[in-house]
Amino acid sequence: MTQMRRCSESDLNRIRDFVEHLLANPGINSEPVIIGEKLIMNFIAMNTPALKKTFKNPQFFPKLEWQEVIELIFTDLYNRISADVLPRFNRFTDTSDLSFFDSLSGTGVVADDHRRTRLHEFVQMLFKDRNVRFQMQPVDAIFRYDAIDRYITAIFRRRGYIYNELVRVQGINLDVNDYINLTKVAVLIRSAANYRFRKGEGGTSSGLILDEVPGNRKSLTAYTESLAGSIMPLLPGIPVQVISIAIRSNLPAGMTGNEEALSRFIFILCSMFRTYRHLERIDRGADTPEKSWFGAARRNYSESGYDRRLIESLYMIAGDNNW
Amino acid sequence: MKFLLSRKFWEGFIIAAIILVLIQTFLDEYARYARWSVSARNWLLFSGFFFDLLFSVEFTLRSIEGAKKGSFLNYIKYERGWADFLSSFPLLFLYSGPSLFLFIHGGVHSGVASYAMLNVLKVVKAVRITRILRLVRIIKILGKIHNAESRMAQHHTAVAATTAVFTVLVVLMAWSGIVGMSAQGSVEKRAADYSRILTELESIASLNKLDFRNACEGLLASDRAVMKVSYKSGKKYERISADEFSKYYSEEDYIEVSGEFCSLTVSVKDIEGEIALHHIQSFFIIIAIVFSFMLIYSRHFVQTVSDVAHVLNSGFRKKDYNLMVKIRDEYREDEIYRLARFYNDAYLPAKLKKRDREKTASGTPLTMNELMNFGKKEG
Repeated sequence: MTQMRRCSESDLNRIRDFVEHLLANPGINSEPVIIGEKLIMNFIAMNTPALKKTFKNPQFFPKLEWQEVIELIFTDLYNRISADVLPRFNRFTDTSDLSFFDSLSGTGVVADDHRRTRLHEFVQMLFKDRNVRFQMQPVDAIFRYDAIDRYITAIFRRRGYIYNELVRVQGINLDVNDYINLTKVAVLIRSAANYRFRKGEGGTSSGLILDEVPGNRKSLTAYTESLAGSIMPLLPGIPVQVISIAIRSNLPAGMTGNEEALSRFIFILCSMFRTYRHLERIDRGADTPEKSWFGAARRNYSESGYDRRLIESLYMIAGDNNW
Repeated sequence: MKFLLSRKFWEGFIIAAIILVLIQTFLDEYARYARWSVSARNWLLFSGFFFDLLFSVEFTLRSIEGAKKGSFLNYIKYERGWADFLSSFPLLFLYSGPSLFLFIHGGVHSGVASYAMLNVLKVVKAVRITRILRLVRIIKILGKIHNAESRMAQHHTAVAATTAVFTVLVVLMAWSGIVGMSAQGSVEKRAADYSRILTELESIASLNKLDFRNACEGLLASDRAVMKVSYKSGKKYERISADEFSKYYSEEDYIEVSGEFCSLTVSVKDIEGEIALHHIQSFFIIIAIVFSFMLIYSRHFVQTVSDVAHVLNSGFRKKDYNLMVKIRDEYREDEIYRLARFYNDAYLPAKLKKRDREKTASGTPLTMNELMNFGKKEG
């Protein structure tokens, strides 16, 4: 903090201009903001020695220490990204009616305001972590392009294979709007699997994140159950079953059980929106982006960990709706 | 001034001239069918000559330019130079030029008629069908109208339309040659018919010792094609006044048939009108062919070939292009759709699998040089 106080207004303005300059690069500008941040971080990591010298030049930041410059750049980037992304998450967590969770938990009634406030804080906590934020890029895209609203509505309208899996086999019998909200909550929570909880804050006793857990079914099941249980106190009023769905949506289809269709559905959506780039105009003669993605995923399902029948059904839905 | 000398201006000027010449060609035929006045048709004659001259000059300049660049054959074969040629010099030398010559020298019916003039008229009438060659110019517009974004679609549509238009023109001209639909043949036949009729009438009058005029004028007057009967005695029968006749009848609209006691002025406007009607029909057939190619065929081609090729091209070449080709079931066994199915089912999934294996955002598009640009800009 002492170091930060040394920064003049002109230094801050220069940092802002510098970040602006980096973000204006066509290779970054064309990417989602969260990916853009990652690309800038990569650049700094790959060119640290050269940058240290360069930043000392008069036209850069001669009065600031290296660490100060990096902190200021990251802070400016975070401010920009959070201003772009968080309002979408907050709009959902602050205004949605999540009282249907009470009927699922069987552990009594929790004030919806309280539930939403804690969920809001939890999402902010995850988003502040740089690594988790990077993992939340598909979550941002899903919210940005209303993917859950669109697909769940279509699934409930069709009442086909996925509906049967989500409602009957999964055993979550909600109306369409509540199901949309439940799925959104699960999507927001799922990145907790990559959040390194501080001691006493939550998280598993091992202190591992999902990427560090051995990739066998037994270890993963034990880890996800443990993590879901440890997160539960941070999210009052959200049933552990839902937290478990969220955490297990990070696992490929082969690692989930038959009754975990919602986790597999979220896994597919997040995989798609990880590489999704919105197109203003689709070439004539080309299929729509989402149908194209599902079309290719139908061939790659086993290597990519997708549920084949879910993919097939989603391909039909995307095709029928011109998505 | 610069704009007036620019290639763009002249290209635009030529397109405008082509559209005007199409209108002129239609009006030229319609004027004959609708029996417009001679002065109106003379204006069309001048304008036709002007356009033929203009396109002949254009062809000459393009040929010279092509020869200088060593691409003359390329111009003739692939840039519709052949269409430029067919719709320029042949028309200028065989039709509009001789017609203007006849007009300037007063025509075959005037006192200055000569053997050479008769030959000119014969040529003009025999090759009247060549007027239809003006429609070849419509082919030139095809290359200029960018109704589709795809160059391939423009090219193929133009080739298909050109083939169709030219085939129709060749058939029409050949048919005219075979069946003798030209004005010259019909006019000569009419002249022979009336000459025979006149001879027979004169024979009848002589054998029966009748006054030819008293015996035959009623009969001749009942024929609406007979416009004038001029007796050797100097007396005349005129269906319409001399002023009206000169207003509506030009050299090519009537024939003179001479006999022992009189000469007949016989209208051939009906023959001209019938032929003009055929030409108008051909005109609309060709216009319809061109528009159907431009609107229907080009759309079909774009949807079933060039759009598919465009998506395949983007998918094969661009790293971030991940859209499937939309397969139309009715064409799924066409070669291009079989390729598209391979792209959808094998290439694209393999491409996406490879991309998924690469760690997202593992590198950076930024460079130190670019960073220095910030320094320079700020400095």
